Amino acid sequence: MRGLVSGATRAVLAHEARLSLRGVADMAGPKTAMRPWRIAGVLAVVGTIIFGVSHLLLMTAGQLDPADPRVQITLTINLAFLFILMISAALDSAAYALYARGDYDLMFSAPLAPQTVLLVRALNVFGFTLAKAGLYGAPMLILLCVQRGAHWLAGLPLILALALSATAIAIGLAMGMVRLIGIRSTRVAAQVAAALAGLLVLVMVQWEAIFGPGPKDALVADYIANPQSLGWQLATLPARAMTGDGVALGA
Amino acid sequence: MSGHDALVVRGLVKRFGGFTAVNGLDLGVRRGELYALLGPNGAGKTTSLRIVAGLLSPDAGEISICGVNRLRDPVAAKRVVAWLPDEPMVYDKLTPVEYLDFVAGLWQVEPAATKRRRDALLETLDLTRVADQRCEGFSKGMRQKVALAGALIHEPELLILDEPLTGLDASMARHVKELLQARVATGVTVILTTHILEVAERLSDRIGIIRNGRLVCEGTMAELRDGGASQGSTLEDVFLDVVAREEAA
Ligand SMILES: Nc1ncnc2c1ncn2[C@@H]1O[C@H](COP(=O)(O)OP(=O)(O)OP(=O)(O)O)[C@@H](O)[C@H]1O
Ligand SMILES: [Mg+2]
Repeated sequence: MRGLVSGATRAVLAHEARLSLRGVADMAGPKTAMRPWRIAGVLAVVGTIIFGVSHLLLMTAGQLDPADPRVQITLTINLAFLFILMISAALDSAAYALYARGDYDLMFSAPLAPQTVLLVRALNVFGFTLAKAGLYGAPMLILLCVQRGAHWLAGLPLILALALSATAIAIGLAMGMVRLIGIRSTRVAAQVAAALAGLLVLVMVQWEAIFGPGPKDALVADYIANPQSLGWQLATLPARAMTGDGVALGA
Repeated sequence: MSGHDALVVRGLVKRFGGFTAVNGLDLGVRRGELYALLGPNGAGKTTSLRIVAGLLSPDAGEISICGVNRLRDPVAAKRVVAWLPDEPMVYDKLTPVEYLDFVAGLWQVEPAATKRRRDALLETLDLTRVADQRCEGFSKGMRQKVALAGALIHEPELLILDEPLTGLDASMARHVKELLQARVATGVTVILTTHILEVAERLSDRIGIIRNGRLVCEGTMAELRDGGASQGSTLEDVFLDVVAREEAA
């Protein structure tokens, strides 16, 4: 790896990582001797909550048979929401990293290929998206692995793949939106979208309570009726990958 | 390769939509020269220099920097150039020391040289006191100084500065002028734009005046004063005269 990237590229990579870490660390307030502890504390509390919620969800979920169409539909819906959440989170990062930072005069007057700078920026957005998705998704995955079997580990590369495509979509969206409505509005829109997506996750968790079993049963019935139809094959691909179907994972 | 001029620009054109911001600009700047580029607002100074620095691509024209073709080999050209925009950005979350180390890393300066140059620059620009504070609390002038230090840390052969003195207090402006002259004395080439004509008059070896994206007048102060129909004796007289003449034409 070291041989592949030039010194200047390494400088940009390290620089991006440092700026990101500082941005995150600054959320924990001013820099004092206590700050590391405060950050650790916040992480512990958030981690516990997410673990707790994931555990509760799993307890109520009952037996999870990967071949059960109901499970696959539920997973598909969940993953779809997670994906939307990822895209909206990535959108704000992308608008910021690509446009709002204002350091292109420095970067593009430096002796390195502009593509390098843009690639590192995209990596930065990807890292953030992955970190956020990991924060929400990892506890659930760990619990699934420990309680229900190691084949759930297949979810890891799946989340990676989802984060990667979310990043790509978000960068594309950000570029289009900045051109149409400007940097500031794009960031506001992205933040609103992220908040809405957060709400959607609540809706998803309460899905059955709000809508009753009806809509999902209809979907399940349709899936059982035409399991081989192309639409369903594609739609449940992520879910089947998650349950350890090697072929789907490859895709 | 000291035979080459620091900068040669031929027939530079840049359009934004239907508007032509740079319209066939020719410019030649010799090594070790301090060249001041003047012109009314919107004349195309910033646009031209951004093209030279590699931040914009021209629609037509040729640029050679210290003998390197800027369009064919941009990375090699950028290696010897520093660009300081009129409103430079420094990272709020970095200290001056970290900023300078990062810029030095971009140009791949050796760590030992980086440290030596960095400390000297911080000292000269009166930044040592705040060297380890994050830039977020800095005033506009302090940020400008940090950015200037960044432009100097890789010891460019060609230093391009867009209105470097606006925002600096009188004593700091004097300091920066001396700093630039000291660099020029060691063979560095400096191109700057300014609206402070007195700066151009006192500091520069040669002056170019551009208007509507092309060079309308060029020479040493003495040449400008003697040349043409201008009866004026200060640069201001010459400048206003040239601009007015162009307007009439
Ligand atoms: N990105 C852009 N899009 C459209 N027009 C632009 C763009 N950048 C510059 N221009 C136009 O090009 C012309 C030249 O601008 P430029 O910034 O080069 O002028 P300048 O000589 O630096 O002026 P000033 O002394 O005010 O800094 C202006 O009319 C400006 O409006
Ligand atoms: Mg300008």
